[in-house]
Amino acid sequence: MHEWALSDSIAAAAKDVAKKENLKKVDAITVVLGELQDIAGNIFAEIFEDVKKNYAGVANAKLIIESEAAKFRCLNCGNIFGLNRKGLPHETNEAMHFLPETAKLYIKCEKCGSTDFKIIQGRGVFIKEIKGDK
Amino acid sequence: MRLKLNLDPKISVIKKRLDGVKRIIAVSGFKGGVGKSSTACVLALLLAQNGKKAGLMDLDFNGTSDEIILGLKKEFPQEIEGLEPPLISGVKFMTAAFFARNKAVNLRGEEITNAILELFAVTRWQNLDFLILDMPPGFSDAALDIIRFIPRAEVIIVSTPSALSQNIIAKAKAALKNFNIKITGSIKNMSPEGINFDGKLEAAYGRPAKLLKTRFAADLKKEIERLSLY
Ligand SMILES: Nc1ncnc2c1ncn2[C@@H]1O[C@H](COP(=O)(O)OP(=O)(O)OP(=O)(O)O)[C@@H](O)[C@H]1O
Ligand SMILES: [Mg+2]
Ligand SMILES: [Zn+2]
Repeated sequence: MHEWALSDSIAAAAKDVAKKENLKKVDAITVVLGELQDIAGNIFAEIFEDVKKNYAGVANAKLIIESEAAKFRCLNCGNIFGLNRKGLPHETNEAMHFLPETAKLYIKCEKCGSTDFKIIQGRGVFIKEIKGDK
Repeated sequence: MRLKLNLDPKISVIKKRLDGVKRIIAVSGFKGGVGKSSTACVLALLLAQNGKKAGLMDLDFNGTSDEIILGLKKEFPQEIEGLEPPLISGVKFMTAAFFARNKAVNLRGEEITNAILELFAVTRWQNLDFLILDMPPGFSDAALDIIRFIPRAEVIIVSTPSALSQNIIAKAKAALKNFNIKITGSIKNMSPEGINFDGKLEAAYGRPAKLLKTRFAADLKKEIERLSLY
């Protein structure tokens, strides 16, 4: 599972934050999963239950998952548009799953057709909040 | 307490993903077209031929070429707790070309950083003696990211005898010193003092066995010995 490596990174990053902020333990981690990378939240959470045991101070952390819609801003015409997977082949979805930046190969601005756009939200995985005890 | 963050977790696992890698060598040239990719690919092939565990990663996202030089066919990484790079003629190989399917990606600064973080966070190199990084031209975002995320990476500088190339090399060396980056050595390409011009190099692209028999490879082998990489 490729998701394993990403879920593992959540636990590792939480441990790093705990160390930096002098937290004795991490109680909860809020993670945002972006629409573009299309990671299955239930699988991600299941893996996390397993990997968190390897990180001191994170072993009892609860994972809260939020999702975020993908949004792009065209750098040519300024149009802001969302992700439309209709008509995208399986390989394209797979490529964006492994490397979201490849969206620039497969998606065009809905207004002007440019592929020079910025992913402004909903790219991949990030940590939004950590709750812990000093 | 609650900490509001906007944190990319991938930075935290890069070091761990590279734990089993003894040396990380960025093949850089700062100038375009000096032979960085040819050197990186043949270097990885020669190391593997010599019994070393070698990996190769193409970080020139806007113009990947190692898949052409190595002759990538249907190989694709395996999904096992991340992505396990396929073996191409004994070299573990990772490239954005697996996902870009013959198209050129147009990535800007921050996107390059995100793509580099993504690949380093999920790639499972396991144990390697050498991980060779094929760098894009210029003192690029990719170069700065490698310095930031993988400070233990060393650099091999490829240059050509042209005055322009030599001038850029002098500046780049000074900059690398500032960043505390180890320079493993310089290789002069298309020069009688290093790797000679080899008119048969291009014809061998796509066929690793043939590449290893070129004059280019024979000359690079001497450079590898000079730099004590074997
Ligand atoms: N020693 C050599 N003899 C003959 N041709 C060479 C030699 N070294 C490189 N070349 C040719 O020069 C061109 C550029 O080589 P290569 O792609 O390896 O350089 P590069 O520095 O990676 O370029 P870029 O900056 O575009 O990434 C290729 O066509 C290659 O075949
Ligand atoms: Mg190149
Ligand atoms: Zn547009």
